[in-house]
Amino acid sequence: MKKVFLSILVSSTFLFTPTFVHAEDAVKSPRPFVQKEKVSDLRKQIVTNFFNNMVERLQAAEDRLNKILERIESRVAKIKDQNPSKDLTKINNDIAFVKTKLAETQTKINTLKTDFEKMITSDSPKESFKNVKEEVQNTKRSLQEIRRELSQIIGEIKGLHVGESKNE
Amino acid sequence: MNKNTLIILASTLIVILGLTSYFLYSKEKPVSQKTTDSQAAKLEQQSNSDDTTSIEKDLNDTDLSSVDKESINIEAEIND
Repeated sequence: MKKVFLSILVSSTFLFTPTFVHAEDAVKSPRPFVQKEKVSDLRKQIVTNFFNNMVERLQAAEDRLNKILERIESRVAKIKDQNPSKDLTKINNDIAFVKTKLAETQTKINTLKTDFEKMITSDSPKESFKNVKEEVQNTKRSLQEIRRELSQIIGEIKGLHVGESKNE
Repeated sequence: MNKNTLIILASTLIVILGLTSYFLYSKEKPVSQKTTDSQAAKLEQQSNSDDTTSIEKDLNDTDLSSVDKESINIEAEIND
């Protein structure tokens, strides 16, 4: 019985030895430092998750406005086919302007991702975040401007007084 | 092997198990990745129609007010 008990004890000791040796490495470091690093890494992960959510939303907004522009272009093409005499110069110029703004906004979103990567690994994230925050606000303002421009184009299309049913 | 030796061995095993449990438990757990935001999902939904009424409706439904709401959370985490 004693031999069986002893065997179990020795086996268990060997079973847990690798984990214990690995844990020893952590014990060698001063405990407060280890705790601080963990909090820092966790916070980094939380901030990254917040940022990814925000970028996902900004990208979704940009994609949505892009899709709306495509639908407007489709509508304008039908109007042109059905009413060749209609002057669509201003509408086409406004569409071109929105396309440029959308491309600029996409560039801003891409820059935002790069600058966030720099910020998260920076020694002074507080300072670096000021730049990222400003870029986020600029991107939001661009999206709002595009939205206003698209509303204006819709108003211009409606002002043409062209029936839609015959243009489908 | 006497009784005392067995007690020492058992105590050693308990200490090893205790330390192992402590280090395994205190090991940093990964933060879950949220892949899809509900507002982003809402922004992705729109009609395919090119009639002006439908386009105008989707445009009016485009809510951009809180696209940057995490900015506050990020700032709070960094400045904390």
